[in-house]
Amino acid sequence: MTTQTPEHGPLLEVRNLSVSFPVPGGKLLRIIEDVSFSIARHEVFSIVGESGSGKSVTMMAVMRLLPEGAVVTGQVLYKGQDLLTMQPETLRRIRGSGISMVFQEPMSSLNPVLRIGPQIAEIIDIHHPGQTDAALRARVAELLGLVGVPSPEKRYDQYPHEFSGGMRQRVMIAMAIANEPDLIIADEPTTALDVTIQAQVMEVLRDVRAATGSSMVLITHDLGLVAENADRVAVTYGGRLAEQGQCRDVFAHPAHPYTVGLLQSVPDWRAPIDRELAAIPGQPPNPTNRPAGCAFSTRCPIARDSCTDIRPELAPVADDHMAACPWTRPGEAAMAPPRASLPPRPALSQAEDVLRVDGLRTHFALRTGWFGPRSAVKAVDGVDLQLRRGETLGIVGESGCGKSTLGRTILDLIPPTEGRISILGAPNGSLRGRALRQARRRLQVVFQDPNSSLDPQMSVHEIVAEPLRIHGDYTPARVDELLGQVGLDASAGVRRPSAFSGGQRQRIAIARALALQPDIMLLDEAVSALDVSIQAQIVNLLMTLQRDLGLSYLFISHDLSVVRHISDTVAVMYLGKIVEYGARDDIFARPRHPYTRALLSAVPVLRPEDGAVSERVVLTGDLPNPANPPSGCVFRTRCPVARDLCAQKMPALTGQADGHRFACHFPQG
Amino acid sequence: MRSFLAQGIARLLVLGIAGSFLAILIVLVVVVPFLPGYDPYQQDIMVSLMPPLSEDMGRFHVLGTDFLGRDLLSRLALAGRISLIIALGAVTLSLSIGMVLGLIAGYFRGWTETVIMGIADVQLAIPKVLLLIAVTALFGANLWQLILIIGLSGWVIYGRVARSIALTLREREFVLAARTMGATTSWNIRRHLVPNVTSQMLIVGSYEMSQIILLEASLSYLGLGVQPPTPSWGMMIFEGQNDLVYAPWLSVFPGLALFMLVIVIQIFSQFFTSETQTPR
Amino acid sequence: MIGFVLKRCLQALLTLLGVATVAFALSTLGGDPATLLSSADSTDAEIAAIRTAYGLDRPLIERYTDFMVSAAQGDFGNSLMMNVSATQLVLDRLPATIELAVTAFVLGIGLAFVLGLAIQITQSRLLKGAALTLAFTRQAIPVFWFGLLMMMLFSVHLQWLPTMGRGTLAHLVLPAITLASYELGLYLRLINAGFASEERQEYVRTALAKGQTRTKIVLRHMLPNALLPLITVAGLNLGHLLGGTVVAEVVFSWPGVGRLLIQAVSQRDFPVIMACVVLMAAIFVLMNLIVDLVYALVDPRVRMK
Repeated sequence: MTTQTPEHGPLLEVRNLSVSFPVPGGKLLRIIEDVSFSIARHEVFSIVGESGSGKSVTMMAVMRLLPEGAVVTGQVLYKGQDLLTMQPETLRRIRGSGISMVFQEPMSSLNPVLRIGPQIAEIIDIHHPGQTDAALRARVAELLGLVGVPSPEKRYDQYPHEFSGGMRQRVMIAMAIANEPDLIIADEPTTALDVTIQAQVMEVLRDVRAATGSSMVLITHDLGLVAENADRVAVTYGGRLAEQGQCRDVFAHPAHPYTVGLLQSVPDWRAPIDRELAAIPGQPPNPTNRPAGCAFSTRCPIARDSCTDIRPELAPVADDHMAACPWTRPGEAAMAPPRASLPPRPALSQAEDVLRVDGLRTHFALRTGWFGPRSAVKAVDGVDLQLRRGETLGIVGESGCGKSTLGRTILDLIPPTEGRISILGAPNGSLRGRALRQARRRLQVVFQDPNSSLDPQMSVHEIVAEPLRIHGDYTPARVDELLGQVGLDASAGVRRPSAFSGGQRQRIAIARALALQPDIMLLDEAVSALDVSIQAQIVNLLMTLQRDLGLSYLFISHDLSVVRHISDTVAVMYLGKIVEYGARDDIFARPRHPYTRALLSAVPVLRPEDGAVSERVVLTGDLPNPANPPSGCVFRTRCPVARDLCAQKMPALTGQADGHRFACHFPQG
Repeated sequence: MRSFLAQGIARLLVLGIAGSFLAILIVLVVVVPFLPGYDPYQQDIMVSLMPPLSEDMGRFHVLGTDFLGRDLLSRLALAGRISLIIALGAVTLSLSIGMVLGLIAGYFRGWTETVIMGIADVQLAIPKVLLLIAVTALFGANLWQLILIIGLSGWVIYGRVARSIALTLREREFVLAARTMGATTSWNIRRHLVPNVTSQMLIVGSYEMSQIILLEASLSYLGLGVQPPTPSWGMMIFEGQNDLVYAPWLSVFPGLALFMLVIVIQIFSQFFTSETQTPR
Repeated sequence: MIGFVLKRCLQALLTLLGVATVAFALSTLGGDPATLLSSADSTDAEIAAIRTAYGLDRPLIERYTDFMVSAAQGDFGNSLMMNVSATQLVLDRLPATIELAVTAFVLGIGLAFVLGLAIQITQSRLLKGAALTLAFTRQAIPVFWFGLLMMMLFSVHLQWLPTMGRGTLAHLVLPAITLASYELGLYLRLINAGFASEERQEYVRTALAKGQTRTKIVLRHMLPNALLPLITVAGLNLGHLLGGTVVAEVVFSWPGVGRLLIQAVSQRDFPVIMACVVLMAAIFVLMNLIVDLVYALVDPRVRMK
């Protein structure tokens, strides 16, 4: 992926772009401030930043797609013409033909009541009217084939809800390339997708770009995705550009303290795990209370007094490399705080089991139609687990693999169809009423979405007090103590959850889970919704709490790098079954199941030397319908090494003396 | 920016109109009944059908008199109070029944939900005016019966809204988390479902209030509301209908009062809705 | 799809069963026609004779079964006053009611539709503000008062149109406009709310990014989505329209089911009251069944299930 020199100046040039939104009270709130960059022909330019940094708003403003009321100033020159001031009719002719877009949510971005084919044909018809239906249909089928949608002729007449997430995003890409645009703007194109599907979609994007020679703007929060795909990168923070330049320069020699912190927050695949992650302290700025000077000054380790007042301009620090910080030079990593090492833990080998799951099945009855045959979705289909005191067991898998259903069944929120769950030796179903409620104290939960896991009508104090009140143990002092334990001030108690940022809300949820002094905490994607710098804070908090309180964690996640950092043992799930189970290093350094290998290789990595599997395996196809799983091995339909035997016989989860187990007839490595 | 300003002005204008209507109505139902010498039931055939702003032997009839010589303003005031009492009573009754049944249906699911929503479907299948006509025809209608009948027939909309909110709330993680803490069903309903459904219930209730006032007026227009001599706006309009040509004030003023009351309630209901739905 | 149709039909049948049960319960609880038909000086024996004649001395469950069986055949007994079949009385009046209700509905929803689309395509704030304000105002005026005001203006003062009765097209104008204006306001607000929520959908942004024109985005993308919820709401609001029709029939002396009902109420003619309520409810249930089936035909997401 080499940068090519522009043919005649830049393709798109953004000059001093600022965006403000009106807020109640008639004021304007500035969201984007003075952003400038340019995109050359044929290059991939990435805008990377955390949520709320303004990366999506920037490109929406460029295309004049912001909601009515937004005030946009500056210049956006596309081949020398200003998109911001041109006639709407002229702009309309550029949209979809010169510049096209791919959005984050492929389901809501497609019209639910129109067939797929006509939705793609529409973009051709707008810009090249007068073609016959047959010609349009043929061209659409060709495009669908190009982006890897199987049997395009049949798919033409289907509706969006009949497509999987990955297939819908392929449709969006087909639409975007239909008129061979100069520029494709891809706004978090794979964020809603699973990692193996993400790998497929990114491959499609690379292929179509190679075929059409378009430039691309890749908006993302995923640094690994940037490192693997972009030529040049701009890092946004608090509505401004913190740094921009050649991708390899910025990642190898970051100049802005924020970029340094951001890169270090990403769990390092090689780092020893007895150390904390390098989190950026504090909370991201909110447009309403941004400092007048540098937006990062409140969290910056090298900030000086003047930083809060004087806004630093983006200035060159090296050839084609600019940073908005007057105090650093590229590659100066000295400002990174030293990582604290975590206190050692007692050996796990002697520890008792706090949780045992044997032969667990959770099936959901399903009837197709009113008189249709009964069938069952086998969400969890024969799972065995052991969790020892003080251990973290990571459960990884993509959406639909049953990991969340497994968690909810263990929590007794869903009744199991079959099998045994013993918590501290007490099997499920053996307790009723008050005794059951007492037993439930031993196992507490932190969910993914901090918006949904805290009752919006309750104060933070009441939220943390709730478990104590249920069991009649409430004292105000205990609530304050719990808030302190997760790094929040007792004064936070009077406010509602809506006053807090995502990371702080997750701290509140952790405080509530700790209230009953549980032995086990089930962390269901507990850090997945958080930005990487905040995620590192919460991971550090969880690891410290585990050592201080002797907690055992069941850590359910789709994020492999976080699982690697936090887990002692890892179970990989696919379609309701555990396909590989073993010590962390067995799974990450010596994976044996082809699915584990594909999963690991699909994760975009920040540092090319990272990753356990050197060759990339891109899985073909989608996850099979869980109501109608394949015969034999459930993975065989997508497996690169499947043979006849796999269709006939389901492999058992067996393995080696060291406890590393895998369910494959033809293990790799 | 300009549209923002224009919106603000339009909003102020609307609230201004609503405010002045409200002031008139407050004077009507709160102040007028305390004026000395104005008895809504006092008949005087000598002063029948006097036009507005007329005076008779020291008694000033601001809005004129009716066929029996009763002072229109005092009758309007009393009818307004009755109308408000019926609407408030009926809304309170329907809201309570609907919220409880809806939350139970949505939280428990299964056959409980099937039965409750089945009853709701049956009730919804009989157009409300027809149902109320049949019921009042059979059981008669005094003030309390009207509150009871209208209240009982109006729970379905609250039930449906409460149920659909309960359906999502029961899957929300804070309710699941409470279950893992050992919370009982009644704890979850009291502590989580009720507080989270209340503002929606009040939004529906404020709109329904205006609908009930219109409904009660229709019933009394058809002769099925509170019975004479107790006044009601609908009945006053019906009585004035025959004298439409030479005494239009008899049906125009009750109609105006009705219109103002409904408008005021609807504007405040909309204002309340947009306030509660603006993210904090 | 066949499963869905069967399920929905069964549901409608159960609902009708429920309606008939409610009707039976009301008539059983709501007073004894025997005392109504007898005079003050009737002897106990005479009252008992009437009770026997009307079958009121039989066990409740037997009367219920009989009522349901006859109701299923459309038989609600004879009118107490006119001694003809109550159902026949209702059926005789039904065409007038349908004429009025259908005219008002078509006029109201049609105009709302045209106006709503015009507002969306032109994006004129003035048109939108004016139309919505009028809609809002009209909805705060009860049917009977609006009808009276119309009558006062067009029949009494201008003498353009007749005040009451049915017959010519001129007779239909005032009652139809009275009802249609309410429907217009209602549907205009609904259509607008529907478009407003569609406007925020991401597929609209996609269409803009494709370079599509405003008119085509409204017609091709937003309209089918905005119409779907409207279909369901329209079905449910038919009940409100039927209620309004009863009142309008009284105001304009329109010889429909509504006037029959009010007349029956004043004469305490229970079989006629029951026939009116149950048959109107049956029509309403049937309309909603049709609406739901239409919805399933239009929405691919429902059709697939």
